Amino acid sequence: MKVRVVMIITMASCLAILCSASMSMQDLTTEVDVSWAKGYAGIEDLSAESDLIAVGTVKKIVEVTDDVVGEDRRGPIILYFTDFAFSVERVLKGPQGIREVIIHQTGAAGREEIRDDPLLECGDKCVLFLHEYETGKYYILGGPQGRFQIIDNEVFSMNNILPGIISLHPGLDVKGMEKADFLESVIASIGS
Amino acid sequence: MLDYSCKCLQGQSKSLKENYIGYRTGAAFSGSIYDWNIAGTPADFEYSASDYTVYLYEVFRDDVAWDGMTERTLSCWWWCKVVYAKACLNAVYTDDYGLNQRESVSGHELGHVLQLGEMDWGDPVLMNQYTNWRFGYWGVFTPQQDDIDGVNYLYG
Repeated sequence: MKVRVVMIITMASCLAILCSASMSMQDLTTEVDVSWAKGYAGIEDLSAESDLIAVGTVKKIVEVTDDVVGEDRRGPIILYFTDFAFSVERVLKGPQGIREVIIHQTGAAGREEIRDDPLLECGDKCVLFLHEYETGKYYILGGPQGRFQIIDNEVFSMNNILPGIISLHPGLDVKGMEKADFLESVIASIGS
Repeated sequence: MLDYSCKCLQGQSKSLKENYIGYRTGAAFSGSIYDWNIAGTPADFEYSASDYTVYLYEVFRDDVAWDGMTERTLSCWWWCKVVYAKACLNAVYTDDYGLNQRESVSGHELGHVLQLGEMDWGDPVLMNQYTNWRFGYWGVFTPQQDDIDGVNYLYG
């Protein structure tokens, strides 16, 4: 009888230790999802709404801002934004002569990032479809929809950069198209 | 200010609070809470005055392309559960929407609170991630069978 009691107590202790260990092993992760106000059906659709279509390179982070938009029981509610300097090599639509613009994105590295609209990275070469919300400051139309990455002179839409995470309308699906051909198709879409 | 709680099965008890909300956003969230509650899933939102784990609010941002956002903190081990969530509507966009279109966004964000992910532009469901497709094209502003199946799978 005594042996049984000792065994039960031992097993209960082990279970308690395992449970507490498992609790401490739990990871807290944060995910951010958004509803995009507009989904675009193709390049023409994007072009028509763009104030600026630019080819260029992400140069550096200019500023990370944290806006307090309220307060909950955990403290202030903060929305993070990152401003990137985007060096413009060619303007396809919009004021010619622009050499650099600020690209404004929701999120901040290491804090929060929209799952299907990851932050730009310095050195990224892109074709961006942009809306000017303030003089000289732009956000990318439709998040991942208005962002095309150039890798080894080929153009990829974001669903091909992050497959399984980003899904776009087939009209925006671009996979390994020659840069020159893509730019030509964008220019044609502006005229149409 | 309105307080709600979200009672879910598996011993989860979440509460939900609205603050900094105009009447349009408040009405949209209230409508979506009602829609989710009558959808017949184990996850219901319920009024409560304290101890909330879901916070609803409103922002006015003309520097973004999104009309709604949800941030959820998950505790993950064998499975993940939401321990805290914040959802908002961006009134710069949604104040120009009619009530049903606003509910299409608020219901979508509440779906994220319940751990549902994004769906494609061509899916006629509440979790379709583009408002103009979800509502403008498909006319969806309440949970559809696929949304309900998703919650039942997660919480059932």
